[in-house]
Amino acid sequence: MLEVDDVSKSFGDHAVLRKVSFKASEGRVTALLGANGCGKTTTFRLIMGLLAPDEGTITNGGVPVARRQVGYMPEQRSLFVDCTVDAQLKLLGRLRGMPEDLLEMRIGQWLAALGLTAARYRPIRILSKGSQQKVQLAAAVLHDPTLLILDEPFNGLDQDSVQALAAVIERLKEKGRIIIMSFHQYAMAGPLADDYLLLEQGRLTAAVTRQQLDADPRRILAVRAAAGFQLHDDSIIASRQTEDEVRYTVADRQAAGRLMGRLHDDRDVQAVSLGPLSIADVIASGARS
Amino acid sequence: MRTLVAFALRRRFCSMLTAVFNLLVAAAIVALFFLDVLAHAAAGPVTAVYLDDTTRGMHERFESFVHDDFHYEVSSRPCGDTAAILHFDGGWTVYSAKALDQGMMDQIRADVGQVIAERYLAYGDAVTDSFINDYRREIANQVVQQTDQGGDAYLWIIESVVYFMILGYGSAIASDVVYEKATHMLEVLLTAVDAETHFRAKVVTGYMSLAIQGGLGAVYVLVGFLLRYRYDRLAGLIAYGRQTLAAYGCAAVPTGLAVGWPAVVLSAALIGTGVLTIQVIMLIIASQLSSPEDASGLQGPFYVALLLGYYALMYYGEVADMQTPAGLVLSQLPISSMLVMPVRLLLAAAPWWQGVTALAMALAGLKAVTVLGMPFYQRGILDYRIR
Repeated sequence: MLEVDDVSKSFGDHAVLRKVSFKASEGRVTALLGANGCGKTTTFRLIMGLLAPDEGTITNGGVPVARRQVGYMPEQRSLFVDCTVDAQLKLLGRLRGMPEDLLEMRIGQWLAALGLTAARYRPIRILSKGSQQKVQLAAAVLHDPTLLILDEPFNGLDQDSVQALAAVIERLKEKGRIIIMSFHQYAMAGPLADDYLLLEQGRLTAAVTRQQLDADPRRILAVRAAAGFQLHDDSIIASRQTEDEVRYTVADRQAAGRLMGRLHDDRDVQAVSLGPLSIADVIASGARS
Repeated sequence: MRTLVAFALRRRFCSMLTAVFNLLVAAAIVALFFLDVLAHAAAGPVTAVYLDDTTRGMHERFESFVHDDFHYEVSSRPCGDTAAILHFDGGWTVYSAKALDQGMMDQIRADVGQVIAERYLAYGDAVTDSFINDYRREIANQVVQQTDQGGDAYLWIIESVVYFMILGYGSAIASDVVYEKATHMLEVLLTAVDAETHFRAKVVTGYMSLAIQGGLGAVYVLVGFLLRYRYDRLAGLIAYGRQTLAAYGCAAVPTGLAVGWPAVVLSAALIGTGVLTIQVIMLIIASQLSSPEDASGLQGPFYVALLLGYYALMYYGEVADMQTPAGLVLSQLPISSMLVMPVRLLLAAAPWWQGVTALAMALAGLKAVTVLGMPFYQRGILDYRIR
């Protein structure tokens, strides 16, 4: 288990992290949420040992994190784009001390799993953004790390690429890896994560588990309706407008069912759906655990 | 570290850009071996001899001479590459931009002798053959672009080439660091190796790149040499070289050159240490930058400073100046010593022990820059603040 305990970090007068503590377990995906500049990347650099904390400790299984235990995928396209996929992966595998035959085997396996076998000897620069991100993921997991850190893994990807990456992350989770991902758009954390941590201005302000979300009686009623439509009921705790719908947080399942029935008969309503509470709704409603 | 160095070298030398660069260098070096052929083809032969005001009264007679390969014409223009100027100021001189061949000079001397003889005869003076012959001998071919370059100029030229290659390679290595930092590739690499290994790999890569490029250069020289040897066993090039060097007032071999093993070894060691020092400095500077835009912003002033230093050294480049206190100090200081001390050593202007002290100071400078710069590098490569 990765344990981040009371960690603080400042650059000059600017405090980036203040007394941050959390745990990330094997076989679970931890989503680190927060706006740009809230300290997510600094947290990752501290975990990887690239920076030293001013205060606090970071351990994995009770001992300091060893670099080679870590697989890291940065938010940016961090690749030598003039090289082939094979050359890029071999560089990182060799730097991590992998034997050549194992390296060859793993490259073949991962490229097949990610649908990139045909691109193995192609220059990275000619690959699509989604394929480049898959190469980055392959580079991060090639040495079979126990701790996988993915910084904004789905940023700028199309739905197919997101699903392909999510499937691989799910597989690694089943293999018992500790996976930490960061997101600045809360909705993207989606159902993949088991634990959600919210960082705001260097402080950890919320920690919610998927079980807590599932067990929460509150329900989300998503309504797409004509302009000027308003829904009023005592059971509605909060509401927020997204791009094309209004999401109402309803107190419990029964009230949500009742409202659902009411809305079916309303001519102004174009579409309505009922679902469990998401982390984005929790954060938006300010109802944090 | 070996993996990083091998990867970086493969990236550098297995690229289209490097291939094109090397093709151009190879072509330039081979062309140098055929310089005489190219110069002749480009400039063409001297086909006119201009008669200036000093030969007034004789213009008509000179213009009446008919030769297959040149003619006389009245002109006050500069001679350029395809003409010469016949001038009289009590003695006769033929000015030209390049040395004239022997046959043409003999013909001009004969023409001048003829004109003089006719003029003396016209005045009714007794003219003997021996008098005319003496006069003819005085006519000299003087190359108008004569310079006062001495033998030491060649050493400075070679050193300049080395210096600018070092700057080029140092800059390429520094750009690598900026690229890795800007793309956050460095963070990925640093999960596999520590910052010190990364730093050392960069320095070794720069040094090996220089060595490989130098080796490739040697191959191109060999190819050029062999091609020319097959063409005419170098005869044309040697004749052209002698003629040009003589015309420019230079000895065929730099005078006072003392190419002994100690001087060569010390010079090579000084240049090598200087290369490493400059690369370490450039790496540390590059580690403080966050983007290629920052790098180009900084490169301008940095290069201006290096070029000013270079021209200052060139200013003190005469052997006589290098014996002044300023020359002595510059030949001992790390970095400047890599340029000044080899010249002093190879021209026997400095005793060997001065070379040893310069090398010791250069090595101490390199160690100091590395030790003091490493913390800045380690901090800098993960610092993305805008400066």
